Amino acid sequence: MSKKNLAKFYLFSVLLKSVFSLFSEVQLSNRMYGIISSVLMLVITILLSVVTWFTLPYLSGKDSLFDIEVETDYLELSSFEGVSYPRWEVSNAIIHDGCEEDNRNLTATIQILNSSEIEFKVNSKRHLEITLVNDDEVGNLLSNGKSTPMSDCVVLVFENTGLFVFPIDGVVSVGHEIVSRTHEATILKSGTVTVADKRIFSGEYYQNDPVTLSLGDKFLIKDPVSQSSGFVYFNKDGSMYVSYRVKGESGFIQRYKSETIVVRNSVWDKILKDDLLTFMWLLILPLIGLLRTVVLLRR
Amino acid sequence: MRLSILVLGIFASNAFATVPKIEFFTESMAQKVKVSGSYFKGISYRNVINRRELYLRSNQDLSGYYCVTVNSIDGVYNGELVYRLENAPTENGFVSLPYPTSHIESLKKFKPEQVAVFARSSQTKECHNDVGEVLVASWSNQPVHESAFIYLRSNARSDVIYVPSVESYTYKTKCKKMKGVYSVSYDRVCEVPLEHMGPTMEIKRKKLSKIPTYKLDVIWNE
Repeated sequence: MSKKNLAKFYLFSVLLKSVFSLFSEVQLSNRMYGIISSVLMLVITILLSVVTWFTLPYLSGKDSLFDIEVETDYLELSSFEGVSYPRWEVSNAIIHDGCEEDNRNLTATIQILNSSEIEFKVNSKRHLEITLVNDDEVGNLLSNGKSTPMSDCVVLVFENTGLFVFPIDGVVSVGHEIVSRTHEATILKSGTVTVADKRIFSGEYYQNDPVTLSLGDKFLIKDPVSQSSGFVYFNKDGSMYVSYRVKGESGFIQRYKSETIVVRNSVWDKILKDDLLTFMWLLILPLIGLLRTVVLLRR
Repeated sequence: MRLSILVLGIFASNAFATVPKIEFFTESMAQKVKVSGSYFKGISYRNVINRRELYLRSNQDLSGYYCVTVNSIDGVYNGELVYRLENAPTENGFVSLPYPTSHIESLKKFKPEQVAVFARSSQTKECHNDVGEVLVASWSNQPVHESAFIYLRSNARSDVIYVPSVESYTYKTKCKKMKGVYSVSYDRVCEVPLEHMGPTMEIKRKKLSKIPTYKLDVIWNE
């Protein structure tokens, strides 16, 4: 709760306390006390129903917004519910159409079929390798008005002599398992995950403190409800950075020789960050106190 | 008289079949010690572990040394056994072997594709090399299976299985990456429908540098 709202609540409590004292001083008829207690009971019932109703969506909580920024040597991308991949315009890349040694230079627009799976990897020479695999063709090369299908396995190599940005849309996982092959060091370097939720009444997002991703972690969202949208940035140092946003219930940080860490906003986080909802829950307590006072005075 | 000789004959052949002897068994279950390793990790039917019994698919009785390695995908469980068999009988197409694990309750929690079994024949009880014919393993002897599943730990761009060989094949299928799990022991699975299974298979591996095709001989006697 913000300091401003805390101050407002404090003032309101002081006001209610004054009302309590006033009630104990003023002598009213039993009938009047009866009317006041009925009104208070009605107000409390309505308030309780309203706050419960608005709190219920927080309990299911499947659409927290995850904001992920990482530096990683490895990323996997697949299509989200058949949504198409963005097209990439590439120039002076090297293409291994068939995933074997044969290769050639490529300048074309790449259209990747949504049934293909994509892997971004920074190799030991610090060049970016993008592997596309599919049971049939991975997609098409569009150039000079012609469309040429690619094979079922394609590697695109981008040397670290330029800056590259690739928009991505789909289901993303960043990082790679630690394996026993010492000559392959494709792991996540560092990053952060921030989880945000919407305030129920205002509809605005608030953000929690970021969770840190460590060297060697692997991160993915369990059962995402939206596609992961963002971009991959590859620079002249041979470093790959990824920034994307996705909606889901929880994220998993998987680590070598360690339990999986679940990242999500708890119900309490969500309620407490929603100032108005918290205020309404807290309001019920003094109203019940006031009702009790009125009932006692009536006797 | 003839009948009694016949009955004696039947009982005599069973008298030569001895109980499977376990020459060597070691297992570990440790969250903190995860084991990864070589390329081929196993071939089995897809079923859950229910009891301390392992079945190897064979229509003939088995004799000799058989090496079995069991790995969970997350690297937490590893089991290694060497069986010495003498005419271990086949029943319903399976040879039943005891699997005396102390971690049966933990193993029951794994999904079928999360445990790989690599069973192969060996000339000796030393099982350090991967030569020998491979057997399809199963945790159930019910003959209700449609496919065999091959598990690999691969750093290739693509792994494709060809039955019986790359040069002339009747069936081929691409192996798929296993998703969502921290895959330490193996990370690819290839499904071969039983009607396409055969005694030899080759796995063509594609990488930007030359990489040899992996050959597999499977005990698959119909």
